[in-house]
Amino acid sequence: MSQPARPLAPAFEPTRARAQMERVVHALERVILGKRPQVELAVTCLVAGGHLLLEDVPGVGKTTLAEALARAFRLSYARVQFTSDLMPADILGTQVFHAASATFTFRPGPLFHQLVLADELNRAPPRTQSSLLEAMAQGQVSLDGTSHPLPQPFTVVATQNPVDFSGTYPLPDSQLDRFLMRLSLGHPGPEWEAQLLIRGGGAGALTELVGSSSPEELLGLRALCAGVTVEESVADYAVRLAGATRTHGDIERGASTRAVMGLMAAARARALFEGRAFVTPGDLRALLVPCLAHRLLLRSAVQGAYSREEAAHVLEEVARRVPAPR
Amino acid sequence: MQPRSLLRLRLRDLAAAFAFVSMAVSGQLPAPALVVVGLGVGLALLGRRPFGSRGGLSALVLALMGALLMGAVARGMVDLVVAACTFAGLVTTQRLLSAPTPATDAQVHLTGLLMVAGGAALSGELLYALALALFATFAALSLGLGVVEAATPAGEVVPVRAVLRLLALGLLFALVGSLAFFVLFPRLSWNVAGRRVSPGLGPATTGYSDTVRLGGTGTLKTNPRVVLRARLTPDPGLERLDAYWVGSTFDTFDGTEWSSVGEPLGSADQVRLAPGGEGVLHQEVELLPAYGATTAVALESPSLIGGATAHSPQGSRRTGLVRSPSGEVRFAVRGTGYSYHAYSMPPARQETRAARVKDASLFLSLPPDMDPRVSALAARELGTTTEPLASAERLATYLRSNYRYSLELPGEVEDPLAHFLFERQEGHCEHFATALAILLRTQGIPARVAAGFFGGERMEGHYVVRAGDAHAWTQVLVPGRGWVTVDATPEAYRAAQPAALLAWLTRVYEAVDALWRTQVLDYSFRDQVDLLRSLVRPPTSREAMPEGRLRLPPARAWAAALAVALAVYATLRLLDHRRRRTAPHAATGLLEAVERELRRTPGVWREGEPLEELAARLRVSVHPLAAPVARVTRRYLEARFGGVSLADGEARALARVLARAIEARRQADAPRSVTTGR
Amino acid sequence: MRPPRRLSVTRTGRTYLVVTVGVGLGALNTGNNLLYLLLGLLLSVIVVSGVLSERCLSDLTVRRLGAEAAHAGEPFAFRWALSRRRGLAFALTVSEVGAPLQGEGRLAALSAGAEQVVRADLKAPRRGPVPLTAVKVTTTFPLGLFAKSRVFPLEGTLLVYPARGHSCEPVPVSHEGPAGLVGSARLQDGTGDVAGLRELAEGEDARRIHWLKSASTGTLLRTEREREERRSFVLEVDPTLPLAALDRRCEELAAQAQRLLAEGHEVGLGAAEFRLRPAVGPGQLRRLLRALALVGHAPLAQEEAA
Repeated sequence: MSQPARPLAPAFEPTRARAQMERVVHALERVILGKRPQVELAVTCLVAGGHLLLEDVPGVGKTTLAEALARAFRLSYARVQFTSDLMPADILGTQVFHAASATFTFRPGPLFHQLVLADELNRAPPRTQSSLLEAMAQGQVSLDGTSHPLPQPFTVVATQNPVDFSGTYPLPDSQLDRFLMRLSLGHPGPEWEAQLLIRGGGAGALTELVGSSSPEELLGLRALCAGVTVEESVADYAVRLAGATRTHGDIERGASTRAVMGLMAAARARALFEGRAFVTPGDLRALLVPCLAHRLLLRSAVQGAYSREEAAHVLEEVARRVPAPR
Repeated sequence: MQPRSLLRLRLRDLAAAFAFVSMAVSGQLPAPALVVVGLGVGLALLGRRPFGSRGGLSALVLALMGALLMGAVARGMVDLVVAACTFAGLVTTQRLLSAPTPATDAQVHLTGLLMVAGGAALSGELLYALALALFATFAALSLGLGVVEAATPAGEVVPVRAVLRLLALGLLFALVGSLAFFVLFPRLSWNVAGRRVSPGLGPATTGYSDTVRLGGTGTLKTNPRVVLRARLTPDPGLERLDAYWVGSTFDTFDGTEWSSVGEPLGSADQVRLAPGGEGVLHQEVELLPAYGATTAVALESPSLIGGATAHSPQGSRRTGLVRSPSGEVRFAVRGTGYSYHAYSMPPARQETRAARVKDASLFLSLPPDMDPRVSALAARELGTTTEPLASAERLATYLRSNYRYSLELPGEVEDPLAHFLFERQEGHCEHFATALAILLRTQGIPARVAAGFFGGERMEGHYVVRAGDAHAWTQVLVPGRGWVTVDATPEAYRAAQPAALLAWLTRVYEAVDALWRTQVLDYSFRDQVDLLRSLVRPPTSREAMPEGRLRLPPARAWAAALAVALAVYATLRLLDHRRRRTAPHAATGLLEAVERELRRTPGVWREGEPLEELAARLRVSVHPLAAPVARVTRRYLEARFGGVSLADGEARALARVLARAIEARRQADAPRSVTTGR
Repeated sequence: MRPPRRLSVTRTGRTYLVVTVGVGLGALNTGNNLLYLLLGLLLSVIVVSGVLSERCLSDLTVRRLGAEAAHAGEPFAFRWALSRRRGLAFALTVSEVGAPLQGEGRLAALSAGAEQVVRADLKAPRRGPVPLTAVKVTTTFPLGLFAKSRVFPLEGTLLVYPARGHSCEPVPVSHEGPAGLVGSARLQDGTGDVAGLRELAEGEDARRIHWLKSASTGTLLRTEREREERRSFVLEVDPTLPLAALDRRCEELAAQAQRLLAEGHEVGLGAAEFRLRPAVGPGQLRRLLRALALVGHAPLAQEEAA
C-alpha cells in the first residue's frame, strides 16, 4: 500500500498479515471449539501488543486458551497459579548470592517468559498483583536497582473469577486499565460440548497443536500494526466515542486516554486481521465492548462491583448515539 | 433546535398552508385575510416565529380581527360561513407564528382540519381535492414524525427516512380508502347542497361583453376557461358542435360601437323569442362563474328560454328573465352562475314563417360621417346582385379572401371601419362582422351584428364553450325567412385559437374537472344504488360495462396518488440534499448509491446499519448477496478511510454491480417464493 | 385469533374523533359531497392507523434483561431486549405492568432480525422483591391518535435494595480485643486465609512464621492473615418490626455496611434466625444488600454460595 512501512518491518502486505493471523485462529479453533469470535479477539489482542484478561467461571477453557495461544505462536510459556501466599519475588525472580564469587546473580522468576498465564490473578494479595502489573506496563523488572528486561514479545494472559466468589482480591480499577481487553468465553454450545466429550477434552488437541506461527512473526505483525493508517474522521470518531462515555449519565468514570489509545491499537490489529491497511469505524465499534467495558465505573452498580452486561449495554447505547463518519 | 424537529415543523406549516389553500380556492375569502395568512405561512416556513411566547399580545390582535370580521358580518358585508373560515385561517396563522410546543402543534393540526372542513363547505373546485390530499399528506407526515421523535431516547437518531417511507405507504392506502368510504358511505340525505358556483380563482374573464366595440389596443387573449356547459337533447353526438351560441344582437352602429335601442321589457319566468316547431333542440345550460355577464346564451336561433336559477355563494334561487327589444335575454337576479333551459330551432330548419320585424329601417341606419369609400366598395363588389342572402354571401366571401384575421388590436383610430377596410386590411371577428353589416346596409339590405360564442366541445356527454370562443357575426334579414347568419370571419378563426400544448393541458384539466363534477360533487344515493346494483348483478350488455366501471373514479385516484407521490418524493429529495450537504466526501456518494440499491430489496439491509456490519452479517449467514456487498464495502472503506480514492465512474460501476446482483437474486427468488407460498 | 390488545385514545385522538363526528354530521345534514370526501379520509386514516399500529406490535418478542442493581427511591437502569423477524416497528414504549415501578423505556425504531435493547430509568418506591408478571409494549404510531398496547406475560422478580444515601453515625471505638496472648488486635493471631507475607518484626509471635517461604528467601517471614487488623461487625435487624420502621432500619444498615466495608472492615448480618458470616469486599456488600432487601418480605436462606 502507499503507506511506507517502518524500516525494520517487512514490506507492508496486509493480505499476508491476514493470512498469518487467520492461520493462527484456525489452529486455535481446533482446540477452543465454537468460540471463533473470542479466539479472533484474543489473537487481535496479542497482535496489538496488549495484555488479555479472561474473566469467567472456572472450567470453560480459560487456561486452555492461554496455553494454546502460546503454542500457536511458539512462545515460551509459564503458568503462575496465583494464591494468597504468592510473593512478588515468586514471580519476578530473586537475587541469589554466590559464595564462591561473592556476587549476586539474578535468578529470573516465571515472569521471564514470552507468554505468562496469571491464573486466578484475583486470589493473590494486592502487593503481588501490583508487582506483576508494573512489570506488564514497563516491560522490565526492576530489582535492587537493576533492570532486567523481559523477553520480547511479552504478553500476560490473566484469568479472574467473577467477583462474587469469596476470598478474592478484586483488581483495583487502575490495574484493570492495564489490560487491553477483557473477554469471557462462556459455555460452549451443546454441539461443541458433545464433540469435546468425544475427543476426550481439549488436552489432547492442545498437545497436537503445532505452532503455526513464530515469535518473530508476532513481532513482525506488531510492527505492521504501527503502519496501519488512521484517517482523521476515524480518530475523531474514537475520541467522540470516548467522550460520550465520559458524559453518559450511567457512567461514573468514563474511558481514560489510555483506554482510547488501547482501543485504537486494537483497532489497528483488527484492521490487519481484516487484511486492511487502515482503520475503519467498524473496527472501533467491534472492539468497543472488549476494550472499554472493564474500564468503566458504572454509577448504578453497587460500588466496586462492576458488571459485564450492564457495561456492555451502556457501551452499545453510546455507539448508537455517536454518529459514525460516513 | 434539532434539525429533525425543523423538518417536522416545516411539514406541519405546509399542512396548515394547504388547509388554508383548500378554503382559498373558493375565491370567497377576503383579500386582506389571504395576504395576512400568506405572510404568516411564509414567515413560519422560513423559521421566523415572531410571536414566540408573546401569546397574550397576539391573541389580542386575533380578537381584534375577530371583532372586525363580526362587524363585517353584522353589516352584511361578509357571509357568516366565510367569516368563520377566515377566522380559522387567522387563528392558524397566530398558532404558526407562536413558539412550537406539542400543544401548539396539536392546535395547528386541529385548525387545519377545521379549515379543510370549511373549505368543503365553501367550494367545489377541483383544486380543493388537491389541497385536501396535500394537507392530509403533510399533516400525517408531521404527526407521524412527531410520534417517533417523542419515542426516541435523548441523543439518539430519529430514523426519518424509514418513518416517512412507511407513513407514505400508509397514506396511499388512506387516500385510496377515503375514496372507498366516499363511494360506499350511505347518502342518507337527498338534498345536494354542494356549492358548485364559487367564483373560483381570479375574476370572470369571458371574451363576451355587452357591447361590440371596434378599436382598442393590445392583443386578444384566447382564454381556455370554460364559461358554458350544456346538455343537448336530442344529443347531436358530434365531437365538435361548431354552432353559434347567441347572446345578444345589435342594431345601431355609431362608427366605433354597436348598441341596441329600446327599453327592456318586464321580468317573466320564461321568454319566447320565436315560435317553436318540429325538431326543436332542448338545452340544459349552465353558465359558470367564469362567464361573468348576465345575458342568457342559447344556440342559434333561440325560441324559448326559461326555468332560470341564479347561483350565488349564499345559495341558489329562481330568477326571472328580462327581455330587451333586440332579443337579448338577461337574468333579473344577479348571481355568480346561472342555469336555465333553452329551446332553439336548428339552423337547417330556420324559421319558415317570416319573423315580424317591426322597423326594418332600424337595421339600415348608418353611422354619421361614414367614409364614402365604404358604400363605393359595396356597390363595386355587389355589382348587380340585390338579393339579400346572395349579396351577403358575396360580400362575406370577398372579406374572407381579401382580409387577414389578426388578434392584434388596431389601436384607437378615427374611423375603425375605414381603417380596417382600406388601410390595415386585417382584424378580428368584430371587424369582419361590422364590415359585412355596414356594407350590406349601404346597399339597403337590413343587417345586424350578433355577439355570442362559436364552438362547443363535447365533454362527458356535455358540450362546453370557452371564454376564448367568444365571437361576433352578422345576421341578414331575408324576407320570408327572417334573420339568417352570415359569417364573414375566415372559418379557421371562428373558434378559440389556443396553442397546442395549452390546449392539451386544458383538455386534461377539464376532463379531470368534469369527472370531479359528475363523480364527486354530484355523487348521490342514486349513484350508490346503481353501483351496488352493478356489483350485485354485473351488467350483461357490453355497452353497460364501461359505464359501470366509470363509477369507480380512476382519474381521481390517480391524481391523488400522483400528488402524494410527488410530495413524498420532494420531501425525500430534500432530505437527501440535506444529508449530502453535511457529508461532502466523494466516497459517501458511493455509500448513498449502495444504500439506495439495498433499499430495493427488503429484508436485507436495516435502515441505518453501517455497510461494514451488513457485509459481516451477510458473510456469516452465507447470504447470496454476500460477495457483491463485500466487494462494494471493501472499495468504499478503502476510498473513505484508506486514502485510495475512487476513479471516475467507479462508484457508478460498483453500484451497478450490486444492482445486477440484487436483480439476479430477485429473479432466482421469484419461483421459490411461489412454491413456498410466502 | 390474535393476542389481546388494549386500545386507548390519546388527547389528540379524542379531538380527532370529535371532529370526525362533526364532519360526519355536517355531511349527513347538508349532503355536501366534499364533506363526505373529507369524512372518508378521516375514517380511512383511522383504519390505516389501526393497521399500521398492529403491524408494529405483531410478531414481537420481548426478553427481560433486568437491572444490575436497583435501589429504592432512585432511578435505575432497567433493560428489555426486543426483536422481531420481519418488518419495521416504530415508536415503541415498554413498561412493566402489575409492578410498582414507575417509568418506561422508549424505542424509536425496531428493525427485523436484530435484537434491540431498550433501556428505561425505572423507580421503585420501596425495597423488597418485586414480582414482575408482564411487559407492556405500547405504540402510538402512526399518528398519535390511539395508543395500542400489547402485554407479554413474563414472570420474573426484581430485587430492590434499600434506598441509599443515609448518613449514619460513626462506629464507636470497640473495646480492646479479648484477653488472649496479647491484648492488642494487631498482635492477635489473625484468622482466615493467608493474606500476605512480611518480615518478622522484633517481638512478634514466632507462631506466625511462614517456614516454607522463610526457607526459600533466607529471612524470617510471617504471615498476614485476612482478619488481621480488621474489626468484625455483625449488624442486627429485627424482622418483626413494623414494615415502615423495618424499611428505615434496613436503609440505615445498608449505609452502615457500605461505609464499614469501604473502611476495610468485616461486616455480617443477623436477622432473627438468619446469620450472614462477616466478610469483606464488594461481594459481601452485594450479599448484605440482598439480605437487607429481603428482610421482612421473604424467608432468608443461608445463601453462601450465591
